[in-house]
Amino acid sequence: MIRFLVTRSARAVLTLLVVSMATFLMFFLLPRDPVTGMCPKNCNAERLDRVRHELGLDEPILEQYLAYLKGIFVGRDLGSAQGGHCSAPCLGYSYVNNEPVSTTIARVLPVTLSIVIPAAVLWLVLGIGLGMLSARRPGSLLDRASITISLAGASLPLYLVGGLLLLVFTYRMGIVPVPHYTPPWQNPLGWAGGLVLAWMALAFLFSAIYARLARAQMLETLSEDFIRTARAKGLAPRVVHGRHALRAAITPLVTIAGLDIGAALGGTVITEVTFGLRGLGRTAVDAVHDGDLPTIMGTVLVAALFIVVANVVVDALYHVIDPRVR
Amino acid sequence: MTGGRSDDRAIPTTGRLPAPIGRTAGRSPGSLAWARLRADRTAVVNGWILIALIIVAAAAPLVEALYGIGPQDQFQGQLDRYGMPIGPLGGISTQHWLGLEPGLGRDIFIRLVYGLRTSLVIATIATLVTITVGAAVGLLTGLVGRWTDGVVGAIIDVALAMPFLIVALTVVPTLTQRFYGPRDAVPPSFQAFSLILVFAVLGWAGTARLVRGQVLALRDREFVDAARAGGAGTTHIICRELLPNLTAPILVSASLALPAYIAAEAGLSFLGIGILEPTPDFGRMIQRSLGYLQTDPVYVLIPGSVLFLVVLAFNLFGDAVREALDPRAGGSGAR
Amino acid sequence: MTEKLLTVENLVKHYRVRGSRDARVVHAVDGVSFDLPAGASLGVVGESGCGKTTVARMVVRLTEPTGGRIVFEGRDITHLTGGPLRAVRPRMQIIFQDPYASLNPRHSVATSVAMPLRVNGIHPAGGIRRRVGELLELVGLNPDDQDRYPHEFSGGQRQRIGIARALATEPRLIVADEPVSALDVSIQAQIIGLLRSLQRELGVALVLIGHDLAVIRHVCQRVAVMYLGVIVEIGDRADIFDHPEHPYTRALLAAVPGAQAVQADRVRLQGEPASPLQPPGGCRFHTRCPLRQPRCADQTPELVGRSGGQRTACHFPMTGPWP
Repeated sequence: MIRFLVTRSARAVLTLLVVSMATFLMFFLLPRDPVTGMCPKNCNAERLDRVRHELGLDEPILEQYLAYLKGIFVGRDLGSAQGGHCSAPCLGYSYVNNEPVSTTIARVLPVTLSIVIPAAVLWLVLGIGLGMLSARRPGSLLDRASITISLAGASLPLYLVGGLLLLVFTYRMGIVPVPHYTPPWQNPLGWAGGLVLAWMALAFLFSAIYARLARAQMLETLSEDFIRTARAKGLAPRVVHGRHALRAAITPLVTIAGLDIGAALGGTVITEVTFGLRGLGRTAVDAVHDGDLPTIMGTVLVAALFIVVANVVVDALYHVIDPRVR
Repeated sequence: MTGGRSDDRAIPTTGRLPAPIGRTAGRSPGSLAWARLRADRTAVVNGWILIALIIVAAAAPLVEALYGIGPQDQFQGQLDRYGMPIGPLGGISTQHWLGLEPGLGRDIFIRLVYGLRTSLVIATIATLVTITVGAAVGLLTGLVGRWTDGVVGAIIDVALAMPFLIVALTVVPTLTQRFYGPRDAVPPSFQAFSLILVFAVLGWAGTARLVRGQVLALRDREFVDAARAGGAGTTHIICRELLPNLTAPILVSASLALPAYIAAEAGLSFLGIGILEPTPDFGRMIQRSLGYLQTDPVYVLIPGSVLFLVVLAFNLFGDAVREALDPRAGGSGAR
Repeated sequence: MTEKLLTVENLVKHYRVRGSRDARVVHAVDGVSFDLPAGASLGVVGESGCGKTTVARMVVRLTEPTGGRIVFEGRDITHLTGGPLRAVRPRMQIIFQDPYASLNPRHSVATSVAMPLRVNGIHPAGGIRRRVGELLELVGLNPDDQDRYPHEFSGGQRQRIGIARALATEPRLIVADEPVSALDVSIQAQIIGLLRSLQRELGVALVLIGHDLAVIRHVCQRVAVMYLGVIVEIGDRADIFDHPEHPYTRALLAAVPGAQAVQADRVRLQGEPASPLQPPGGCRFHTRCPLRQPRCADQTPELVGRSGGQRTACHFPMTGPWP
């Protein structure tokens, strides 16, 4: 088990390295001088040169990349204008935001986490619950209704759902405030109120997908022989479904959920843009519009980190849960 | 005794099968899947809807000629002084079937028709490229030795680890800036090209994984050995033995990719980096409409609903295709 | 002396096991030798894991031997590849065990059966379709069924199709790898009967791999018994079945329900078959042999014959009843 974790983590690190390399190289496709974009106001040629030198942009690409990596692992020294030493993990300095990228990310990450994690809990409970109920009586009215809702939910664009939710609950009915982020420890109710629409939108879409998945998985599990045995033993349907079938059906669901959550953490761009929340995704979009390279790099890396970590966790879980995989 | 599955016990050693009864004689797995699809009502309905959509989109100029209004025509005279369309429901009338855009006064219906064309063209080409590249890679990597398989597997991991939206957000403007200065007008074909490129580069990995899995399963099956023992070379084995058995995962991939690309293209346009003005596009239309959420909600609902219905039709049809290829008890299979 | 069609000398196949600390090796086949005159039939028996399928695959060069020699029609084909190997292939064919996996589900019967003809560029007089029809009739199927697909046939019928395919190029040697193990007992009899009559009528040499002695006995003139990668006894049918000398052969025969074996008192072999990763030293069978002596663990017995063509690899071959 330990050996598996070690090899798997090594692979993950390698993947991340390659991702960072690919992203890094992508920018050097830009014919445009990256510095100009980073220093939008009152920059004359002399200042540009100084900035370029401080950022190390006049050095060969490989050196820059290695310096960047070094910054991530042990920290490195930036120019005095950027605050001197940038401790690990150092993701560079953004001239657009006038702060180290890691500071920016540290600020916006909680927003994304606050959006995704509660929504994930919601969609898992709703989706899997609905899927299980559906599977109990295939072909019933409930089942057919839930299939329809699921299909609809999986086909709707998030921004449309978000827009409609805003229209109804915030503008027309006024019962929900305009979406904003308040740290939960400051004001839990405000935190929830500011995010509830985002949760609802995400939960609606994802629970639709998971309801379909859970239903299919449950139906497949229910047709297996060991369920027949459980029923033949005279166990109540609730026990058969709840204890026996669920445990078997849950594994693939958990793994897909893990992967989806990892991806979501890295990419709630549309949610954040629709609701005007300044999370990781929104920061990335803004950075792209501003040509703010270091921030773009930082967000891509963090997003990829989530995806890769989720993959490793899911693989490890599978390793533990499914004895056949060992 | 039905034709085909007769009981061997009833046949003497040199017996003959009874003449085939019914339609099961000579049914290849492919034609069986097709028959299952044709028997599925949902599939047929959605199939026809999709065909209609494709025809309308392909014949957009013809529709424009018949409808009489172009996508860029502005009808400022039919807007009030706030820029809102006169008339109920955002200006729906016999002349403007789905109303007018606030602000610019362009006809929504014809813009949706052209927007549909944009979405379908991009999604279809991206899907074709994705499954071709993915299938080729999956095939090769399943056949060639461990070392290549390991390397390609690592590349697939990286491709799947890249956060799709953020990478797309980064690459598309980068590509544009590489070839066009900040003041140049970027032709729609180039915009489409960069989108297709990004989709393909990030999307081939899923197909490759599916195909690779199937190739690994097939590689050790005895009919492949039989072909080799019969004297077949590698070309025959790939083209005539393996490939026909790979159509299923490839079709599954395509059926999943197409609606996903339609939605993704709309999403990217929504974020402002997909198809730009003035080319009509679903995503951008929705993005623009959100600004009029309180004043002209019909303008929000219409493109959103149309996009939703298109994606839904593709999803339903795709579900039916996957079901026909691999029937499972209980109806709608896993995604 | 007639030229042997097939001579196999000291065939060895070792597989390296991946992912272990030491370089562990699976000794699938560890020195197997036999020969086969044209038109003759040889049965290879043994339990699962004894290496008989590996031997079959090596003979038709689906697998490349790690050591040893295979001489077919006077030519050394042990390490042939590419063009020269493909030139030999039409003359040696194989029938597989699993009738559900040995036919491509997307190919019609006609396509499958004609495949060896097409890939070798053979154009029979009268056309391929007619030839396929002839082959199907030969194995007891209706020639009109050649446009149907494998899923429309039962296991026994599919196996017949596999046999038809193997006969397409008029090979001089057919290797049948457990051709009836996946079939119902009643069907087995038919397929075995078919193989036997085909072998005799067409004069094809046959190597029949299996674990069922009754089946082997019905078809094969000579029998080789394998255990853990080596042949422990080989001889004519009458020799093996009437006076088996190796304790393992005796145990196998005694285990056949209702067999007419000599001294059919059942013997219980001790323990589990050893692993091919670490075959026991000396005689491989000694860990399970009721007759073992200290010498058996130290010294590997050679396959030597006492009388006639029967040869046994045992230090204490049995000539009488169990002690």
